[in-house]
This record gives sequence, C-alpha cells and structure tokens, in this order.
Amino acid sequence: MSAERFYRLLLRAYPPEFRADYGGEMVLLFRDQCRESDVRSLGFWARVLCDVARSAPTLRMEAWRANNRTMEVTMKVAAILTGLLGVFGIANAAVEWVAGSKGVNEGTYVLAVVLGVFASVLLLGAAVAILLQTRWGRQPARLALVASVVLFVAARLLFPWMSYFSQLVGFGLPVALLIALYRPSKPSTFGAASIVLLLVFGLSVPAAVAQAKPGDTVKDLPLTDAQRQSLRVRAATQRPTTIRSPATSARTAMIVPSPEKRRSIKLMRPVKTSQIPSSSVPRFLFSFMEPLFL
Amino acid sequence: MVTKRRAGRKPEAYLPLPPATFHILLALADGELHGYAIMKGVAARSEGGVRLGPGTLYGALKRLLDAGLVEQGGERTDPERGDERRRYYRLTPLGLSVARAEARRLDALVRAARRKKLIGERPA
Repeated sequence: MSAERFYRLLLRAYPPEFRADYGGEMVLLFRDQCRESDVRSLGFWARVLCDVARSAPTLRMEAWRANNRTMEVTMKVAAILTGLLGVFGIANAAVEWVAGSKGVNEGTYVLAVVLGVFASVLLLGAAVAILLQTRWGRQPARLALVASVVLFVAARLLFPWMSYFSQLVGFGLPVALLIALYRPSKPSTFGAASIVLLLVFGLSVPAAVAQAKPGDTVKDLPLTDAQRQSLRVRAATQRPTTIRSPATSARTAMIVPSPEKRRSIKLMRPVKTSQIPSSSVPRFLFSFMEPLFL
Repeated sequence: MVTKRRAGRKPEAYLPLPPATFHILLALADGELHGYAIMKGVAARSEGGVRLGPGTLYGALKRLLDAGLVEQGGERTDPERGDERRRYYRLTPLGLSVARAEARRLDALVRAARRKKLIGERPA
C-alpha cells in the first residue's frame, strides 16, 4: 500500500464535511511532505499519526456540536419540565401548609415547608434562565446547584431522621439534571461535577422509590406468604394516610387497614405505624416525583 | 480556540490566540499563501519549533475562516511548484487587527518580563 493511499485511509478519522472541504488539499500537502521527507522513517509516520490523533477528535467534536440540534431541544424540554416541577412544588407546599394549619405547626415542619419552597423557586429561576438563553443564564444555574447542596446539608442537620436517599432525590436530582443538561461550552470542573452529581442522584432514585412502596412494610409482620401477597396487592391500591400528631416530634405515616383487611388478617394489629424513611420526607417534594418513576 | 464569527466583536475579544493560530496569521501577513507555503513559513519562522501537520493546519484555517479572520483568495497553480491547482488564503482586515492586537499583547508581556529582569535588554 502506498503512503498516499494509507494517508487517505487516515483521513476517514475526520468529519465528512471537513474531508469534503479540505481532504484534497490535505492529500496535496501530504504529497509535498513525502517529497521532502524520508517516508520510510519512523519519525515521519509518528508525526503524521500524532497530527491526526490531535486534530481529528477536536474537529469531530466541533462538527458534532455544530450539527447537534437534538441536545438543544432536549435542554429546552428539560427546562420546561423543571419549571413545571418548581410550580408543582410551590403549589404542593401551599396545599400542605393549608392542610397542616389546622393542627399545631412545629418549627421543623415550618422549616421543611420553607426549604421546599426555596428549592422550588430555585428550580423555577434556573429553568427560566435557560429558556431565555440570557448571557447570565449560567449564573442562576450555578446558584441553584450550590443552593441544592446547602439545602441537603441543612436538611441533614434539621431532620436527621430523613434518609440520605430521600434528601438526594428531593433536593438534588432536579437541579443536577438541569445543570448537566445545560451543557457547558468548554470542559470544566463545574461540568464534570454536575455530571457526577447527576449520576449519584440518578442512581439513588430507584432505591429511594423502592423504599417508598407501601407494600414493603408488610414484610416485617408475622404473616404467611399468602397473607403477605394479599396485603401487597391491597397496599398497592392504598396510599398511606399521613397524620400529623402534635405529640410527636416528627411526622409519621400511618397505614389504616380497611375493615375487610382487619377481618382477614387476625394477626395484624389494627393500626400499624410505619417509620420508613421516605414517609418522613416532606411529601410535597416527593409526591410529584413518585409518579415519574413508579 | 478561535470561536465563530459574531457581529461587532472587537479584535481583543479573540485574544489570546493559540500559538499555531498566531503563526498562521503571521505567515499570511506577507500576502496570499497556499497551505504548504503557510506550513513552510511557520516552520522557518519558529526555527522548527512549531510544526503544523495537515490536520492541525487545515483545522486552524477552517476556524479562522469561520471566525472571519481569513478568507479564500481563489485557486491557481504555484509558479514555483507548478503542478496542481492550490487554494490560496489571505488575511481579512479583522484578521490583521487581531494579529496586531495579539502582537501588542505579547509585546507588553515581553516588556514586563524585561522590567523584572527575566530576560535581557536585547534579544540574545
């Protein structure tokens, strides 16, 4: 195989549009180089290969970015969904607050609602910034990422009974998803950190959702397999009823079985108090995410 | 890396230029040149320190064309080589301004280095 034919093969590493524009000239230039260098020397081919290895990936990446409209559309859709998520979060917090205002509002409960609203407002802000494509659009997105980390730490200190998974899902996932989709124009530590956060949060979602299934609580009861199966089927159709009790320091979820269930399961106590971690998450944060993954 | 052309950008907005890009602009400051002449000019000016391969050279030229710093000057045969038709490139007024701005920037750096006595008063 001649040197020129081999170089033509190497040119396939470049994007097709670039090859069409400059391929002929590159071959011409390579031919000039061959005339003035020793083609049989290792150094010559090392330089040629090094040149292709350095320039082809960069040009491929530039061509991909120039042609890629899919990512732009995905980013816009993700921003709209995230904005809706923020609106739903605020609406849920309002509903939760109105429902809870009949009882005694404890400090931690108030803080949970406030933190949830704060996170939702940040989501809204970041989504609007990306949709408007402003010059400063990146700044709110960065602020949202930092704020989500602050919220995570604050929630850890204020609500030690909350599970890590629930906190990650509640505060981190939406923001991390948004930031990672808001692709940085250049490789940066910020972009890499966003992707790592997205992976961590994304991987924690299935585990957190699995924890949240009401049917899982029955495995702790002294029941036969048939009774467990029956309970799982029924539990899937019943939501746990959240009852706030002024006497307790934390909110607890209580499963109140139907009269039929009480009759069929003698071994079960009438009221089973569940302390699964996800039930203690502010429900307005979790309730709008659960349908997405279940 | 030189980014795509944006209306009304000042020459300073393109700085600092990558060394290979500045070398190409310097080579084209002499007039219209084809790819191989640019490559030889850069190698001679840098005393072999900067060697542009075909991929690096045409990748940089494509970016400079996209940014509006360089334009194509037509195709013709090289009187010295006299074989095939080659595409010629030349600087645009914006490209010349950017090259001047980069030269001023580097000159200021060299003067600062002289004041700090990092290099001598005259080039060795």
